[in-house]
Amino acid sequence: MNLSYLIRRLGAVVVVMAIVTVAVFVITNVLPGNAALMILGENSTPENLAALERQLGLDRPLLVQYFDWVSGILQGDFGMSLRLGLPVAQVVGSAFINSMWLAGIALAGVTLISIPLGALAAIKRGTKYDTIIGVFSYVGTALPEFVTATILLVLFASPGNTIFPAGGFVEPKEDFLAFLNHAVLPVATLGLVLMAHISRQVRSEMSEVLSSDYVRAARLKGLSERRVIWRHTLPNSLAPAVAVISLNIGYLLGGIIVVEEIFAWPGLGRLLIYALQNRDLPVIQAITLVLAVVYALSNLISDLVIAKLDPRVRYA
Amino acid sequence: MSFLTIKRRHVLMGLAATTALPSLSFAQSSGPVAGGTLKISHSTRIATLNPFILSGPAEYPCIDMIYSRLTRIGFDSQPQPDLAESWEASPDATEFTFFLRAGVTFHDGSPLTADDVVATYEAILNPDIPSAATSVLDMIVSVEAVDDLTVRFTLAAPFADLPYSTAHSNACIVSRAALDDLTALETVANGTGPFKLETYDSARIVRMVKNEDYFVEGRPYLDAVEMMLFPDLAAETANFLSGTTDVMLTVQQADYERIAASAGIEAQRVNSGRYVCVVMRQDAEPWNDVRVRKALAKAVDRELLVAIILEGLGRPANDSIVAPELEYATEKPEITYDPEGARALLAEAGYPDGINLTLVASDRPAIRSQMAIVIQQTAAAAGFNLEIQTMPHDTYLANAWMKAPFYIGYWGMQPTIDATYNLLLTSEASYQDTEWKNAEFDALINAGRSTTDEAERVRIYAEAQALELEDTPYIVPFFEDVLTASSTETKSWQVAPISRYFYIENVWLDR
Repeated sequence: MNLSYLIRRLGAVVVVMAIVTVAVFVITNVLPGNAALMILGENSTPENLAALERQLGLDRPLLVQYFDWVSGILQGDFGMSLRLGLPVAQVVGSAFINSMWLAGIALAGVTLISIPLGALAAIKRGTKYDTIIGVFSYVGTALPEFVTATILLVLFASPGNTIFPAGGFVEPKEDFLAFLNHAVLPVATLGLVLMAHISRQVRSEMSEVLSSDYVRAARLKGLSERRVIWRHTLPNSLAPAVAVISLNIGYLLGGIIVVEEIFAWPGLGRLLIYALQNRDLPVIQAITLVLAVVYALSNLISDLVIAKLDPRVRYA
Repeated sequence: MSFLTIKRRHVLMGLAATTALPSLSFAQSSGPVAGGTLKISHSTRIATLNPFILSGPAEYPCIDMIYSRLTRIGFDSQPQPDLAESWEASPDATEFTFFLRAGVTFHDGSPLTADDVVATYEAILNPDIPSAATSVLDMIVSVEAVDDLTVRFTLAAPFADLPYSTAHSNACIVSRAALDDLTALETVANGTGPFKLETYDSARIVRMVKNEDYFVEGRPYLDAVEMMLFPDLAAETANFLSGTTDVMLTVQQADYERIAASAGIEAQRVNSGRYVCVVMRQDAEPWNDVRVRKALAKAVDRELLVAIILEGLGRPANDSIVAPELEYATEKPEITYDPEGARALLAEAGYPDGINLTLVASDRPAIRSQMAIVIQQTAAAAGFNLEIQTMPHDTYLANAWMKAPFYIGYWGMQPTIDATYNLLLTSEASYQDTEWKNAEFDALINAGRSTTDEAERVRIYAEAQALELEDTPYIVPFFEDVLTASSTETKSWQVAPISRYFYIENVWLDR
C-alpha cells in the first residue's frame, strides 16, 4: 500500500465518473420526450412546449447542453433541476443525507448482528441454531424488498396495531426519536436481506477456517476454545466478510430505491425514480455521480480494511 | 350538481357507541370552530407551485389555497366571485369589465390592484411564457386597468363564457413584481388566497398557514394545512386509517369500499365529467369510415367497463365528451353492447372477416391500459382483433399522443361545454387528435360563444351534441367518479366535480 496506488485508484474513479455521465446523458436523450414535455403532459400545445423548452435551455444542441453541464460541474455548479425549479445541489444534497442515514443505520445494524450470527452458526454447525439461522438467511435472501416491506407494514403498521409509522420522515434535527421511529421499518427491510447475505458468508468462511490445519494446531496446542475463536478464527474470517459488505453496498444502494419509494423516505432513490420519470437530466446525472462515487469509495475503503485485517494482502 | 356522500359504519359498533356515549354526536353539533392543522395525504408529488403550468392532482389544492383568481368555480359548477366582486359584459359579449374587491393585499402586505391583474393576464397571453390557461383565454385582445379596482377585457370575438375562463385553475393572479422571476414562482408564492405558503419541501410536505388578512371575513377556520406525500398507496391508506392524516385527497377505486366501511371515515363519491376515451384518427383507413367507428362503439361493453375498471364507481357514457353535469348537456341515447350488430356494420364497411388493429395505451395512470385490455376482450366478439401496445408515459407523450391512429386518451372535466369542445373537437381545438373536422360543428360552437341568449344557446348546443353523436369522433365509455375521503372530525371537506376547486377556507376540525 502506497500513495501512488491510492492516486491511481482515485484516478480510475474519475475516469469511471466521466464514462458514467456520458452514458447517462446519451441514454436519457435517446429516450423519447424531454423534461418540458413531461412537465406540460397533456397540457402541452406546440407554443407552450417551445416556450418551456426555451426557458429550460432544452432547445440548445445536445453537445452544447452536455459541455455546459460539465463545465458547470467543474466549477462546482450542478445546475438547476428542470422539474423542481430548485438548485440540483440542494435537492440532491438533502436527499443524499437522508439516504445516508437510512443506509448507514442499516449497514451498521446489519454488521453488528450478522457477523456474530454467522459466527454462531459456524461454531454450532449442525445444531438447531445453525438450522434456524440458515432458514432465516434463505428466506431473507429469497424475499425481495417490496415483499418484505409489505409484510412488515402488515405486521407492524396496520391500522389498529400501529407499532411503527407506516412511512414518512421526520428531520432528525427536529425530533430525533420520531426520526428513529420512522426509520425502523425501512431499516429492517433493508437489513433483512443484507443480513442474510452477510451472515451466510461469515458462516461459510468461518466453517472453512474452523476446519483448517492451523485451527486444529491451535486446538492441539491446548488453547481454550474461546481463544481459538477470538484470536485465530474470527480475524481470518472477517476479511471476506468485509469484502461481502462492500459488495453489498452496491446492493444496498439498489435496495434504498425500492424501500424509499414504499416508506416515503425522501432520499436519493425516490428522487432518482422521480427524476427519471420526468427526464430531469441534471438531477439524474448528479445522483448517478453521487452513487458511483459512494460505490467506488466504499470499495476502496474495504480494500484498505482488508489489507489491515490480513497482513498478507499487499497492494502496489 | 349531483353529489353523493356515502357513510357506512359497522352497525354493531355504531349501536355500542350509541349506548355508551348517548349524546356525543349532539354535543358536537355546534357551529364551525377555528383552529387546528388539517393533514391531507396524496400520492403524487408536488413538483412545482408555478400556477401557470402546474397540472398535478396534489398541486391544484395548493394553488387553490394560496392564490385567488378573478372568479372561481363553485360546487354548483357556476362561476363565483373571487377577487372580482362582480362583472358585466357588453351586450355582444366582446367586452367584459371586472370590479375588484377593495382592500385586498398579497401575503407580503402589498396591495392588490388592477395593474397586477393586467400583468398576470399579459403573462398568460405571452407566447414566451408557458401557460395552461392560454387556450381558454386566447380570444382576449387587450386587458386594461380602468382604475385601481376595475379591469376591462376586450375580446377578438364574442365569448359569453369568459367568467368561466377567468376561473381556470391556472389563471391565478400574481403580483406584477412576481413576474420578474418566473423560476422563483415554482417554489415561492405570494398570493391573495386564504393560506400562505410556509414550508415547501417537494419530497415530503407542503405546509400552508392561515392568512389572517384573507378578504372573506372569518375565514379560513384552520390554522394550517399540510399536504403530505405518500408515494406508496398501502402506506398512505394505513396512515389515513390510523388517524395520522385527516383527508385522503384521492382514493383508488379498488380501496374505496374498504375505506368507506372503516369506522370514523366519511368517503365521498362525486359524479364528475372525467373520462377515458378511445382516439380514432380519422384522416386514414379504417377510422375515416364512420361505420367502423360505430361498430367499435357497439363492441364496447360499457356496463362491464364500469363494473370491472371503476368497480362500479362511475356512470356509463354514450360517446359524447359532454358530461351530464355541464350546462346545455343533452340526454344521450344509450349504446348497448351488441357484438352481432357491430360485426354486421364492420362487414358493411368492407371488413367481413374482421379487422386487425394496434391499440396504444400509456402505463400511467393504470386505468388506460386496463381499459385497453377490457375493450380488446369485448370487441373480439365483433371481429376486432386488437393488439395492445402498452408503453411508458414518457414514450407515449412523445410518440403516440396526438400522433398514433388508435390510442387511449384520458381527460379531466372542463367547466363548460364550450371549453370541452374547444379542447378536442373543433377544427382549431387545442388538442385536435381525431382529425374530425366539421365546419357545421365549428360554426355552431362559434355561434354558442357569441350569444348570451339562453334559449338560443340551448338550441345551438343541442345541435352540436347531435352532430357529435352522429359521427362518433370518440368512443367515450364512461364518466369516472371523483373519490375522496376524510375523517368524521373533518367538516366541510368537499371536492368539486372538476376537482380543481376545494374551498379549504371553509373546512374546520371538530376535535
